Parts: sequence; structure tokens; C-alpha cells
Amino acid sequence: MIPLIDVSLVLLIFFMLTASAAVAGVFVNTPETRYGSVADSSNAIRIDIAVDKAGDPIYSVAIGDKPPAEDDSDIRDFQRLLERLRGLLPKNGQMELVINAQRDLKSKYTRELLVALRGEPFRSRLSFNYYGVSEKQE
Amino acid sequence: MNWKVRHEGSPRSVDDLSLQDVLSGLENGAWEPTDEVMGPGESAWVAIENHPQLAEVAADLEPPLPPQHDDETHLDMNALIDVTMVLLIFFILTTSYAALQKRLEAPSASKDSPGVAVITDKQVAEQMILVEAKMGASDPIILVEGKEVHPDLLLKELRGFVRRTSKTTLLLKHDGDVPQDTVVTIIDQAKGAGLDRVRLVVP
Repeated sequence: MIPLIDVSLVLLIFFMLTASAAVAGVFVNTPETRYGSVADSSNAIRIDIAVDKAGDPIYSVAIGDKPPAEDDSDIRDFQRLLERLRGLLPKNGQMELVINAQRDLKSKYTRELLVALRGEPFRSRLSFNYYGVSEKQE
Repeated sequence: MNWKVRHEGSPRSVDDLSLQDVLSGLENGAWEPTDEVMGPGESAWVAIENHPQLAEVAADLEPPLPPQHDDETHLDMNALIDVTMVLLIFFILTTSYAALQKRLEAPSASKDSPGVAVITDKQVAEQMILVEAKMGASDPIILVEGKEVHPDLLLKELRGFVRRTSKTTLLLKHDGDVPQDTVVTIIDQAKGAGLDRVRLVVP
């Protein structure tokens, strides 16, 4: 029985931690694609865009796969999103940016974001902008 | 008879034993080779292992097994291995999922505003395939160079354009209400058709 209890405890702790991470982070149902490339995004800035019941975007900003800070999650205002994003830009060099937009989000919001990212200071601090996607299930 | 046996140096002894009694006592463990014996007519105590008549028998006896003690430093390796394997699998899975993500290059924007490129109609006609996405009654409609194309046939249509015109850029114009899923599908199919760049028309 002792090994069984050991393993059960480890699994229990594992599920407890992942459950808490799920609450902290915003998991977005991204569009499915066939030709997306798999890459290491652990050092990229991540913008998650979920959709509320009215169809409006809910933004959150973080680095890599880390959960967003309290001030960087549940952002409803676009200007505040840009302000929080400025805070995450590197002082030197460039970073990649990944936009995880929910698949039923109106595309005007991602377009608005891409246009804003063409302006300074984002333009000189972001090397590439990507859409985060998921694998298409055949 | 008249053999005497005592523990080494003991003041008390067992008397009136025969040689056979001493031998059988030695074999069944009642006496040890270091115990002392005094035979008939002898005046001094001699260790059994040194007595001429008993030395050979004492030498043949196996030494007693050392006392068994519970090993308190024993570790149950099975449980340790179980937990280690679970942790190992857990970290293998989480690190691979954490570091790697599937992604698609986002289009660059084209518009007459700071930081956004401006392109002419001539450039569009010469270098780009125009794809439009509009909202229909319920589902989005995709138009390739003005011709409506079913989403399932978009890849085939774009491949045909690439083959005929050798254009490498897709110009994407979409209504704001079109879902992100449709926009990403068009970019994905463009990549599959060999178009290396997608530009976005900004109203």
C-alpha cells in the first residue's frame, strides 16, 4: 500500500498545481491550423485574448508560459493593454510576440492590435509577431 | 566418567561427565570450544579446543552464526523508484509543452499611417493575390480575386494562382466582424500554398 500512497500523493500535488495554474492563466481556444510551425516561445511576450459574453475582448499579457501578473490580466481597455505591454518590452534588444486570440474573437481586435504594434516603441523592440495556434485535428 | 567442564574461568563446573557427554554437548551447542575441560587424572583446566582428545572434534564444529540484528538502514527502493518515475514523466511532459508552441506568422499591416506601409494598386496587381473575407448571413464568405471560394477549396485555389502567376504575397482584406478563426485559416492556407508573405489591408 505504501507505494500506492506515494504515487497517489505525487499525482494529487501535480493536479493541485496544474489546477491553480489554470485559474491564474487565461487558456485561450486558439484557431486550428495545418501549416503552423512549432517553435520555442518560452521567451516571447504572450498576449491572450479571450472573449466575454458580449463578444468584447479580455486581454492578458505575460512572458512565455508564465501566468500573467494580477495587473496584466483581465484587461478590458485597449490603451491599458498597450501600456502594460510597454512595461514588458526589453530595454535592449528585441523580443518575439505571440498573440493567442480565441477563435470566435472578431478579427477587428487583432487587426487593431497589429496596427498598434507597428508604431513605436513596439516596432523597434519586437522582432516578429505571431498568432498562437493549435494543431488541426483530422 | 569424571570429566569436568566449566565456562572459561568460571568457579563452577559440571562434574561426573563421560567423554561421550562432553562430545555430544559440544556438538549440540551446550559447550563451546573455548569452555574448559578437565579429564580423568588431569589436574589443570584446558580449553576444549586445546585438549588432545577433543581438539579434533572442536575444530570440525562450524563456528556459531553471528547474532542477527534488524538492518535499520534498509531503504524500500520500490517506492522510491515509483515516485521518481512519476516525477520524471511529469517533467518530461511539462517541459516539452511549456517550451514549444505552435504558431503562425502574423500578417504585416498596410495603411497610410505612421509605421504602416502604403502600397499602390499597381503593386497589388503585379505582386499580390487579393483575398477578401466578409460576413455572410451566418458564415463568413471568402473571395479570391473577387471570386467566392469555399474554405475547403481555398488551398487548391491559392495553389492554382501561385502556379499561374508566380505571385508570392497575399493581400488580406477582411471585415472586422469576421471571426479570427477565418483570418487564421486564410493565413494558414496561404502558407500551405507556398505564399511566403501575408499583408493586411487596414481600413
